[in-house]
Amino acid sequence: MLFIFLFLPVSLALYYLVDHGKREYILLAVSLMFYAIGSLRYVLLFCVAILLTISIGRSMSSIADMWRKKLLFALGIFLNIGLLGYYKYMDFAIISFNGIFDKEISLRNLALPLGISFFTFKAVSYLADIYTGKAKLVESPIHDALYLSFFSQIQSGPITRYNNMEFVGNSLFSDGVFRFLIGFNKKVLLANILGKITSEVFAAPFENFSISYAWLGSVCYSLQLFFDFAGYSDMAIGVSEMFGYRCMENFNYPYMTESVAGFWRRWHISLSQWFRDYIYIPLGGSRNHGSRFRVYFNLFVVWILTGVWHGAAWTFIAWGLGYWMVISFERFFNLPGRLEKRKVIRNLYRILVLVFINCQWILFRSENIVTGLRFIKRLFVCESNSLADIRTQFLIKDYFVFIVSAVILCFPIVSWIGKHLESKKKFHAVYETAVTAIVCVLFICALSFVVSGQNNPFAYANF
Amino acid sequence: MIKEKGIKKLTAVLFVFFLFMGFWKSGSYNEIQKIADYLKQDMDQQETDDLVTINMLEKEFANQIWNRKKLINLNGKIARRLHMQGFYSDYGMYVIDGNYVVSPASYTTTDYEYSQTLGLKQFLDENGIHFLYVNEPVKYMDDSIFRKNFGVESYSNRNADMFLARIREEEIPAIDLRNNINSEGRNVKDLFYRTDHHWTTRAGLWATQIIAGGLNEYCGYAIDTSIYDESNYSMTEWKECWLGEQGRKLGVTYVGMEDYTEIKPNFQTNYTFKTSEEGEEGTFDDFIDEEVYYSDNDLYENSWHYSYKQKNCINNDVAYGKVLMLGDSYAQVTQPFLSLGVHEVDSLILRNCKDSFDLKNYIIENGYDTVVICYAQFMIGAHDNPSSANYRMFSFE
Repeated sequence: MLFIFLFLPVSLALYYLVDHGKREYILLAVSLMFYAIGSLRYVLLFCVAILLTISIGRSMSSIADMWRKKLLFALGIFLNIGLLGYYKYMDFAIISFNGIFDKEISLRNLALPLGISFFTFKAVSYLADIYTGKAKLVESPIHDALYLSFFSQIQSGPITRYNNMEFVGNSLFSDGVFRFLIGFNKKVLLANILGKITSEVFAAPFENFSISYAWLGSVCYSLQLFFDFAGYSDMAIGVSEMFGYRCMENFNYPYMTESVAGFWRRWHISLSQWFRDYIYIPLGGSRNHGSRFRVYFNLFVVWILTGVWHGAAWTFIAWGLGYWMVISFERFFNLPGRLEKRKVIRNLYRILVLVFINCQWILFRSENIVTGLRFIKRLFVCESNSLADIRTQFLIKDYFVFIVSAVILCFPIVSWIGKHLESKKKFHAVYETAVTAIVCVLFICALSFVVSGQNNPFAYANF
Repeated sequence: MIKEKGIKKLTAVLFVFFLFMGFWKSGSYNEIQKIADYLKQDMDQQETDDLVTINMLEKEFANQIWNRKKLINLNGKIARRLHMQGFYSDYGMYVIDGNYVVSPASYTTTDYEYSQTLGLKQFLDENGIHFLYVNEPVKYMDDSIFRKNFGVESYSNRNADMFLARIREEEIPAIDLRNNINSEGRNVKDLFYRTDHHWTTRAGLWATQIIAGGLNEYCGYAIDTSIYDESNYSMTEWKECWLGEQGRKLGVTYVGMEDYTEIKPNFQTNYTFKTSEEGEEGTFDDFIDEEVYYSDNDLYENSWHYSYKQKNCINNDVAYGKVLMLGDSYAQVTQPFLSLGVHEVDSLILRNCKDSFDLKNYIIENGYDTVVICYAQFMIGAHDNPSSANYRMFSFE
């Protein structure tokens, strides 16, 4: 609410009231203010990290000597990864060390700086793109600072690239507003409401479970996570466009996927592409290098890092390993390509993929691997529990509209209708008006949900 | 395409207008100073409890948002349209037939409540003071409504059954008002507001008659309980005039408004209220703040239940008795009514007392002849949760 009725109007007013040339300064100041509000303890650290990264990046760009360039690049990477390692992984490392070597080193109990994982990845891509000469640096380093700190993207991405942070101008404003409204509706009306079911199921003791209850909780979590993160991304893209900047897409109906590998080409696209460009390809990518297992090793590294990036816990490592195994399996057996002509089996495989992703999200959410596996077991084997079955029926009845809407909106039905009506001008105009009106009405409804206390933080904000 | 752009542009204009109206009407400009103060905080120097968090500011701001009540009502309307009975279950509220709001209770062993009550009884016995425990019902008499309708367990009645059985075994006199509801063939729903967890004024009067009977039976009183017959009271009724505490969270559009009855004795009364050293003379009317009924009624601010005040008092028309009523908010109506049959009635809500408060000393110093505990049955088990507002209600040490 503070964001919508204070931060956004003040930022927009300041931004559009000043001269064109000063707008990036205003946006940078506003972004730093946003960071200070969200992570007061670390705002100074954030500023220092930005300054050092830009200094190193700009120095690299002006140096011809390859060795000095390499040294600077290594220094920049070391600084940024070091910060991430210290704040995000130190306690995890201490716990693991204590466990393995039976020591009692005390934990640091450090609060996580806001969006540190996203910032680090942007900083690394910034440095790497300068190092490889891909980045076309603009004259003003303020633009670089804005790229690293832009408030709409700092909390949970998308992890845009320097070259993609393109200023287009005011023409994007109305698209941005529309996109923001859609994202807000997704977050509040779908993610938050499904989150109520999810929170209940994941907090319930296993003796209160039935198969139907476990499925309801896990499916709702899969949907919640999608609408939460996709909603955030829509809002981030929308806000960027309101300020005249394009922002890359982050989701493309991921649950429509035909394979697990395909899922990651549709889910958190900016992260997948980051790993592809800065880890997988530098490792050799899909090239064999004389050994057919090299590519699986490369995938292994990518997926371990993907897991670790999502969180400092063994559950995330197991989660990453799970994806590595299944994606390697798909690669090895050329799935789902070899099922091209077997429609039934292909669809069956598609369902299996969704079940696997659903199980993965359970692991992702669970406190530890054992709890996650116990939950997954209950999707298939569970003692009957009439109370849990009644509860499941009640929750489905109570949240029916939201669950069904969420499932439907996992597919591009709205844009499909729009496409089909494109040729019929009259109908298309009605369609456009209706969609806009619905989005606006739903926005007011969403505000009512927030005011009534039906709100919770972004699920992806802690990475 | 051009038309699409036009619609989006119109949306953008409306959105910007909405943002700035929201900024102005919500008083967002006042928040700028608060945020500035928040940013000035020294995170490492200040005590954690003193730190202002952005969540605190956000919560505070949400309460002053432009058109807040309209938005809450809209939310209630949506929940009602979608027949969502458990939508507000994270506030501990479920809506059953007739827009009647109920709350489940967790299981408790009752060990804490039992040992504390037993300890108090022993202390009172040693000092020749009578003791009576009164169990006030909650809005449902059968825990299974939760199981059947919502698939969750509530233990409220079972907890009360267990606790009352245990204290009765120790020969502590106890009245369970649920038995009276059953024996009189009453419907518990008629005793409570739909949108509030409290009982109605009529139920309060009805319960007081039974409590007075209990004082006669167990504590050596001789109160003429016929003074509590409804025929001795004038009743002023308002239809659909207020919204209970539970209803405020759900929205009036969801559960609708509540009726109210003001009850005053037909007979003359003469009180001395212990509001000052010398005491203040008055009548029963002074227990009631009628401003609440006649002022501009803000549905989301005024609670008509609290128009009755608990006041330590001396009834100058009654010669006998000095009772300490350890109660809860149900006593808003029972304490004034009980005072009509007892010379002196003081009330105390333990959750409002400081940690250093010494109840036993207080009882002795004030020379009570009887201590009555009147607790809603959801107090049993409240001590299991340290963050509960009612955590200290059974702490009699």
